[in-house]
Amino acid sequence: MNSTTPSLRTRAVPLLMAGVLLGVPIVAGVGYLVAGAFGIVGNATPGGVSRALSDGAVWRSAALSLWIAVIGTLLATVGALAVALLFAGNRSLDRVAQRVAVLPLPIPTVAAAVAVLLLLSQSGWLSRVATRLQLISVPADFPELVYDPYAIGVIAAVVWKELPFLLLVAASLLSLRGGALTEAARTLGATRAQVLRRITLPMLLRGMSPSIVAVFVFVLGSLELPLVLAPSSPLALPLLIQERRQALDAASHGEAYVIAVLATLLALIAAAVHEWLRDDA
Amino acid sequence: MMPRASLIRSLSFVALLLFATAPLLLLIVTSLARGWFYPAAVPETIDTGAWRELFTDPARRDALVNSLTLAVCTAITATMLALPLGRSAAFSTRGVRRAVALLAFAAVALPPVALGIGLQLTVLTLGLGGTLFGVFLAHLIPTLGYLTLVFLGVFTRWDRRLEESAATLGASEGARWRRVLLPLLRRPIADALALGFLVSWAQVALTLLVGGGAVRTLPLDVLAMLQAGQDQRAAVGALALAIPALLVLAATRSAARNTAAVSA
Repeated sequence: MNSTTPSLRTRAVPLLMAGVLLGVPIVAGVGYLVAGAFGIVGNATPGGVSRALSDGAVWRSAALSLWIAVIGTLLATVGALAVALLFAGNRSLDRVAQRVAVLPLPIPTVAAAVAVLLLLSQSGWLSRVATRLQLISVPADFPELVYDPYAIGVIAAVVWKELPFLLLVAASLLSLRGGALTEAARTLGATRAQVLRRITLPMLLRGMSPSIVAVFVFVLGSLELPLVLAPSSPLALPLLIQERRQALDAASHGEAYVIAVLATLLALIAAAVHEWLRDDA
Repeated sequence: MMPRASLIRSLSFVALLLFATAPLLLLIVTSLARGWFYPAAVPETIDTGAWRELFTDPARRDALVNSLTLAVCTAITATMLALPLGRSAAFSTRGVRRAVALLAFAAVALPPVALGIGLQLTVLTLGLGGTLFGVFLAHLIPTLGYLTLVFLGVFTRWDRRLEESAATLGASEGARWRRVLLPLLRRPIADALALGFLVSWAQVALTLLVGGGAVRTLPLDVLAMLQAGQDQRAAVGALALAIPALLVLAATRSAARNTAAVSA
């Protein structure tokens, strides 16, 4: 970094650029949402805030979305840690495993959702194989893995998409910081299990924490995964916003804005946590 | 290594292989199978009609062309804007860096549905509702967020001595960019273009809300096919989305690593 006192220009230029390019659209978008929530703009009637907040459907939707984001992120994290640690070496099996594991990373979410639907639905491929093996006789015998109340299909798609991202983070942390610390601990007489529990895992979780928060936020805001795979009652939060927005009555529009503001607040809190963790790491 | 440990590794490898590839293989098979219904576990007839249709059916071809146009334009524009932004922020004070990173992450983290609804009015006021250009502007927001984080990361680890030497030796600003910076930045720029392409390429909610149904892209086309029960066409569309994405990843394998390093 510069050791000299930064001039006004070095501060003003990036702030101005970020303000215009990122700040203005965000403020315009969020500002419109807030104004819409209070009935200041748009065709929504006032009173949307109290109506939306006393609506049980809103809280059930929020609970479903949080459930998907928490469980999906948790499983993806555990999976990423397991793969990173199992295949941390530099032998050919390790390298092939790491390459194969990141395949789903760039796949657009819609495509991932279609693949999971074709695999897990009651007339999907697994159900067909189960029928062939005479484990079940009709599609309805197959466990409900999509459109189900626990959103298993959505969570499966989340893990498939996000495990590779977290794996890349874990693997790069291991290769950057893993070696020296582990060696030092082993020299000092720590067992393999102790090194894993006391050094490697805490180091990984610490380094991965901003990325884990990022995954959580993306999943929380995802429209397409629940659209393809989740139950229609309750609707996931992004779908509920969309549904209320498309409703014909003005009262529902107001509620759409209120719910969107709620979802935005959740995301902004997560963004603040993300920056705080990043700075600390 | 003990045999038990190597058995665990081998079994895990097989599980990982199935986990990562089975959904993709199923997409490939479905995309080639017409009228493949329960309980058939393998398709009876192989048919490439749905693939041809992607390029010959006007509606589907339009969706493909719209998606490609948006992704290419978004990637190029966002890279050109995020590079100077990330660079100036990285060389500024800690406070400025944090503020820019926070804004960039907010652009990425805002639920696209919420941002989309919020942007509708702005876009309509500008007379851009339901236009490709309006959707492009909407796609730029999260893409700029991602790429700003990428370049912030790149320039925070940047060694300025080379450009400073060039400046000392009398190179003009333009010459420093052309002769020193851009050649050094070839890799990060390629990564940023790839990532920018993917962010726009996969976008659903912003396209839906700002495009108002008038701008049909490949992801929206896939959703429509799925809702119509057209599994084969949906699988073709899903693969048409996945294949360029995989190619982009293969071409710039370090893109993901760099982003990962940034968010770490």
